[in-house]
Amino acid sequence: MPLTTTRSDENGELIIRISGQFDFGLHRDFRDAYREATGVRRFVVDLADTEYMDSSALGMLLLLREHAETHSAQVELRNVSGELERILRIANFHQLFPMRN
Amino acid sequence: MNATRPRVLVAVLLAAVLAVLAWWQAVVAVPAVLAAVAIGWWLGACGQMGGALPAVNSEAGHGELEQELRGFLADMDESLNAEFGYVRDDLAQIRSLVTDAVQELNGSFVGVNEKTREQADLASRVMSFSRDEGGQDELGIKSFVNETESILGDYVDMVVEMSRHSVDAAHSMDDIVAQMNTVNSLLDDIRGIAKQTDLLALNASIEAARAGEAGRGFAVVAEQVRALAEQANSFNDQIGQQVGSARAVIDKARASVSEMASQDMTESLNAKNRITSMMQGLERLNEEVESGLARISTLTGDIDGHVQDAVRALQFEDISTQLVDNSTRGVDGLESYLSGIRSVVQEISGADSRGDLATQLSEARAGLAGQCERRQEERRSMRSVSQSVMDAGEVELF
Repeated sequence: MPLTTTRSDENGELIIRISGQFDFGLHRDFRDAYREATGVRRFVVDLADTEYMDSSALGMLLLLREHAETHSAQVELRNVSGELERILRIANFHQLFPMRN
Repeated sequence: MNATRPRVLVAVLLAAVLAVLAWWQAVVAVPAVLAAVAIGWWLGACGQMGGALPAVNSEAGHGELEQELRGFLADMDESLNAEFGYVRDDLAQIRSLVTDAVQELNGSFVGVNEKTREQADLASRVMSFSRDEGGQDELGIKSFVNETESILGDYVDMVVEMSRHSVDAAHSMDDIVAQMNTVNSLLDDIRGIAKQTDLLALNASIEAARAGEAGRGFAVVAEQVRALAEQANSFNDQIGQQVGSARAVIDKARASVSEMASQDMTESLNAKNRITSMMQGLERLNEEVESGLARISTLTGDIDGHVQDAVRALQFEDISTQLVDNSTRGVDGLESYLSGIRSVVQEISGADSRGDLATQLSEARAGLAGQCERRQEERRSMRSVSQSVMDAGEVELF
């Protein structure tokens, strides 16, 4: 599965873990992963196993951010490194999303 | 009486030679000259008083000795004169060499000074140019890179924004497709109803036929209901087809949207890296240029200082010219001193009495001592002048 979702109820976290390619092919699964979830205080996108990311992934992250804002929740990017980190930085995502390893 | 004359002559000669040597070696020669003259006088006196020293007794012997001595004196006089001539020529040559060389050096120092000033001007111009002073961005490389960076930033923002909209549109299409699926299932429901209606109409027409003449009107109604059910079915199919083609259009649109949403960020990343390294390179270049130019400015100041020092040092020309002139005058003095000695010797060789000789010698001594003193005085004053000149502080290039 390129996308797995884990719920951590004590933190109110929803962890979306993406492996392999994070691109347009995932857009439906990605939205489905967060759209119906309730009581989430923080959406965490774990990119530890992500190998590639294009601009559609950035678009998806922005839509997730909008969704989280309307539900008074936060979005956090986790395990960002290498090429992905540089891509996120030139898009100034480090100013929009807290990043943690 | 005549027996003492050669002795006196020898003594005077000895004194003369000593005096000349003393003069030649050092400036303060008076004591040596006096000593030599005293020795000469003493020797002469000894010879006169006792006559104890071995002497040439015959007149012919005296004549021969006198002849030889005169010849020796003449030779010495001649060669000394020649030496004085050489020394004078050499001094003149030194004077002109020093003057020419100093003039040339002065000229080249003035040249060095001009060139270093020009260099400093250039350096400061380049510095102000590279600093974009006065807000005028003449080089523009920095602002060009900045502009490129901001354009790249805008481009990335635009791409991300476009992707966001595209993904959003794709989500909406997903929603439309989901709604179309609902429409399709509703159409299936309508198709089921039409089928049931058709069956009901068929049953009604069968019942109407069984009723015979009384059911004839009912059969017509049943037939119309059947036709309506068929019509509903065909509408249903048409709607189904429309929904199907709409779904195909949406699929096509989704492909376009996918294309729009999926921009590879690698190119932007590479461009960003290139700009960053270009920026760093420019920064380094700027630093290098600034420090180089600053160094040039310092060096120009240093060179200026050295040139000033060199020009100051060139004042040795004045002093050395003075010294050469002094030496020339010294040679003149030496010559006149020698000629004084020469005339004394001539006088002595022609004198008869001891009284004459003593008077002449003491006159000659007094004359020579006076001459010597004058020379010393002259040299003292010249030395004090030449010492004070070299330490002078400010020197203008001329």
